[in-house]
Amino acid sequence: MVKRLSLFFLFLILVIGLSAKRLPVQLSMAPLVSPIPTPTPVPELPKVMNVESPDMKQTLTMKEQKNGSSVTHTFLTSGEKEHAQQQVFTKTVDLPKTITIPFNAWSPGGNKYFFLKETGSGLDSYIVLTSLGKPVARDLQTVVVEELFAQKYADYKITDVTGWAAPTLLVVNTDKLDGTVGPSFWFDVASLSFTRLSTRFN
Amino acid sequence: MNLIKWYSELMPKQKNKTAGKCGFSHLIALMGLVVVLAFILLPNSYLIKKKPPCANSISCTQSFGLKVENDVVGIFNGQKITPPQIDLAQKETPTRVLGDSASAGKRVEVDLTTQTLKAYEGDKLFMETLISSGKWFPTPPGEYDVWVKLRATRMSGGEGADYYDLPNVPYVMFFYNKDVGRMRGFSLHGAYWHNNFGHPMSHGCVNMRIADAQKLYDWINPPTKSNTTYADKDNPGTKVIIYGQAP
Repeated sequence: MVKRLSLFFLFLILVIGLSAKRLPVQLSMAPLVSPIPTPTPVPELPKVMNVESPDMKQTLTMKEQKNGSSVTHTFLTSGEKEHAQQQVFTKTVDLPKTITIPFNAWSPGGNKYFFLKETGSGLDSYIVLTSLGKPVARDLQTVVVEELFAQKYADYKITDVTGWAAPTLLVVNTDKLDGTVGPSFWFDVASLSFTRLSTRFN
Repeated sequence: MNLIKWYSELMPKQKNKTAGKCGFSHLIALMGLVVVLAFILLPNSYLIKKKPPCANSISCTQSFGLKVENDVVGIFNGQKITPPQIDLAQKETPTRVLGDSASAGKRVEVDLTTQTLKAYEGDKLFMETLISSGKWFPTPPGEYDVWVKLRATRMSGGEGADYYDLPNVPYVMFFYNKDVGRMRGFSLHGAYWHNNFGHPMSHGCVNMRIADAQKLYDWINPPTKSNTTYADKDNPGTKVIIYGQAP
C-alpha cells in the first residue's frame, strides 16, 4: 500500500514537474500566436482657424477634422451680438484637396456673404455662402463661382477671386484658354451675373 | 466744323462788298479761327497750366476736416453701402504724452509692389498688413510726413461708373511732402466699402482694413489729442515711405 502511494506521489510530482517545464514554453509561444497589438487609434484634434471680418463684427471659424485620406471642413459664424456659433457649411474633401478662408473672405458693408477657396485639384474652386447659412440666391445654398462662369464664358478660365469690390461684387480674374491674360469680371452675388471689366484688377 | 462752314459762307459776301479791306479782315478772322480750333483740339494741358489733381476730386479740401454723418448712405462701384456708425463721445484712442520720446524713430513703409504696409519703431516691427493703393489714380511714391489725423471724414470723387461718395471714412492720416502738397489729399485710412486688400483699389490713398487703420492711427504720430490732431514742431508726424510699383 505504501509502495503504491509512493508511486502515485512520484507520478504526481512528475506530472507537475512536466507541467511546470511546459509553462514557459507556452508563454514563449504566445507572441508567435497572437498578432502584434495595433495601437488604439487616437482621433486627431480638429484644427481650428478663426478669421474676423474687417470691421471685427463677425468671425468665421473653420474646423478641420482629418479622417484617413479625407478632411472634413466645418464652418461656423458668430456675430458681435449673437454669441452662439452657427454652423453654416460642412464639406469633406479627399486629400490633397483642401479648403481655406481667403484674407478678403468677408463681404463689406454688413458681412452678408463670405467666400472660400478649394485647392488641390487643378483649377481652384471658389464657393460663396451667406453668413447666416441661408441660401445665397433662389434655391442655391452655396454658389460655386467657376461653375456659373463656365456656363457663360467658355473662352476664359478663372485664375483668381481676389475679394470684394462692393457689398455684392466679387472680383474675378481670368486667363484666356491659351494661357494669355484675360479680363477681370465682377460677379454680382445678388443677381448671379458677371460683368466684364475694361480694366484688370491685379 | 460749323465754324468753317460759316466762315466759307461769309467770306464771298465780304469780298464783293469791301474788296480793299479783304486781306486784313481775312487775317483777323483766320487768327480767331486758329485760336478757337486750338482750344477745341489741343489738350487743356498745352494751354492752361492745370493744378495737380486732388486725390478726392470732388470733396478735396472739404475732406481735411472732421466729418461724421451716421445716417448717410455711401456709394462705391455703383452700389450703396452703409458706413460704420461713429460715436465721437466714445473714448477709443489711448492717450499718450505729447512729445513722447518713445515715439521717435517711427516710420511707415508702404510697398506698392506687394501691396503691404509695415510700421516700425526703430528696428522693431509694430504691424504688417495688406493694403490697397491707387487704382484709378496712382499713389505717388516718395517720403512723406503725416500732417493731420482725423477720426473720420467724407471723401467723394470720380465720375460716371467710377463715382464714389463715402461718409465716415475712418481713421484718416493725411501725409504730404514738398512735391505732393497737403492740398493733394493723400492719406492712409480705413476702408469699409471694399474688401479687396492686397490689390490696388483706391483713388490714390492707401486703404486699410478698419481694424488695421485704427491700430495704426492710435500708434502713429502726432499722438492723438482729439478727433482732429495736427502735427507741429513739438509733435511731428510720422514718416511715411512709399515705394515700388503697383501691379
